[in-house]
Amino acid sequence: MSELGSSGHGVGSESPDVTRPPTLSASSDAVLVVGISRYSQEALAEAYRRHAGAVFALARRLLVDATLAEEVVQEVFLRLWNQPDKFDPDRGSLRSFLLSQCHGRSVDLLRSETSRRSREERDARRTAESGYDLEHEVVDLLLADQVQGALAGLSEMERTAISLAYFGGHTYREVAELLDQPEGTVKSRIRSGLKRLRSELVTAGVGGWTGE
Amino acid sequence: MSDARHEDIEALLGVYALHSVDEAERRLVHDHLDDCLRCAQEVLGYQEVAALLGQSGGDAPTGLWERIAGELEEAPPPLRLGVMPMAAAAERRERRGSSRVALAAMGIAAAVVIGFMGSVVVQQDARIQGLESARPDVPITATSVAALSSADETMTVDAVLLSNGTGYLLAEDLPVLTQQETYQLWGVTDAGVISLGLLGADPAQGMAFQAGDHVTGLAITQEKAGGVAKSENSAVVSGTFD
Ligand SMILES: [Zn+2]
Repeated sequence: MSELGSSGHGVGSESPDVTRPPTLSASSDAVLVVGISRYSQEALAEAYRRHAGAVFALARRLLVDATLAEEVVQEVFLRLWNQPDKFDPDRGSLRSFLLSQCHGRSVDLLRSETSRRSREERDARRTAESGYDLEHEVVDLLLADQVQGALAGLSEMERTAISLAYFGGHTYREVAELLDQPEGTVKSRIRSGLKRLRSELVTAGVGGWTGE
Repeated sequence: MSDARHEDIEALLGVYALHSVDEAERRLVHDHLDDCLRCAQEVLGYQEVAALLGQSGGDAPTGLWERIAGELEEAPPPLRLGVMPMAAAAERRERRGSSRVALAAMGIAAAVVIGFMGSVVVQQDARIQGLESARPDVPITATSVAALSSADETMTVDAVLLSNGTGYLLAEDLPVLTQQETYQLWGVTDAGVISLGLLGADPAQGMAFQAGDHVTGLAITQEKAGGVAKSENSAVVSGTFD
């Protein structure tokens, strides 16, 4: 952007050095990503301003360690900078895309050998602190009423399995072991739970679905 | 894909969306999603649900943005063009080499894409007419067109590529450079960015260039006179062929 600003002499006579043009803060996420693809750091800064808090909160929830969580946030936004075309605005919101990237990366870290130890420590700490209530994670979330309501509509098994998979970062095979249930059952409960959440939330008008 | 296979994969969609599969399953589903719109849509829906579950307030740690911004400056990125929605990109591939009539029929879709991109909307016909008046000696038959624009949208350059590989630029927006500098034209191909030649310090209207069918987009950079083999600079303007 800096090169563009300096080479644009004689074109727009008004100050080219505005840190955030007024149009940018009002731009849709899709327009921001186009700006990012053209190396606008201001566009990336705006996307960061909108979504970094949520991305960090999710990484921290999964990893507990704030330093690791910061690394994930950094990776997620650098990846958006380097590969903006991975985001397809026709197919979901930027927030959901970034959170999904963050979740995938956090889970990779959780599963990697190096952080296995910290995960064990984390689980141990949780067990010590709260007796590791399986529903605790979901229940204490600051969710919109609709999300809370939709969660309440799930069976206990669905809710627990989703919670262990999503917030615990466990594979469904691990979830099956933890719950002492067949793998196939866990797999299908997670899917049916997500499916129900999805239709409830669409009905309630929550979320960024397009074409529904 | 067989029905049985499809059912197996369908059963994995929920756990896949939650990153709750092992690597082999992840790859299996990932590959399937490239070919199966229905499954891809289902996964996207679950990812939106997951995002709502994982969504909570709070601020990012102070100083983190500065670190990210520092990374951006340390590694100046290679030349790159604007993104397009996947569907539009696929459409563009299909349309390559299409006749002017087909191009006009695609006008509405193209205008939507351009509007979405936040670019200055320029009617394709107007663009071609502008070119025709700049180069009345050139018969415009089968074409692809591109609207190149700067990141801040203040400059646009129109380009038309004929089916014979000859292209023309309408570069009146570009500011005149000093004699120590030149504009350089780049073509974007699947294999990377290639130089299509120097445009000089003050590109003339209707300047011609040669580009093969494999060129899907164009970019113009500002370089020192004589040009460079590989640009370290951001594009002054860039765009893809419709
Ligand atoms: Zn499928």
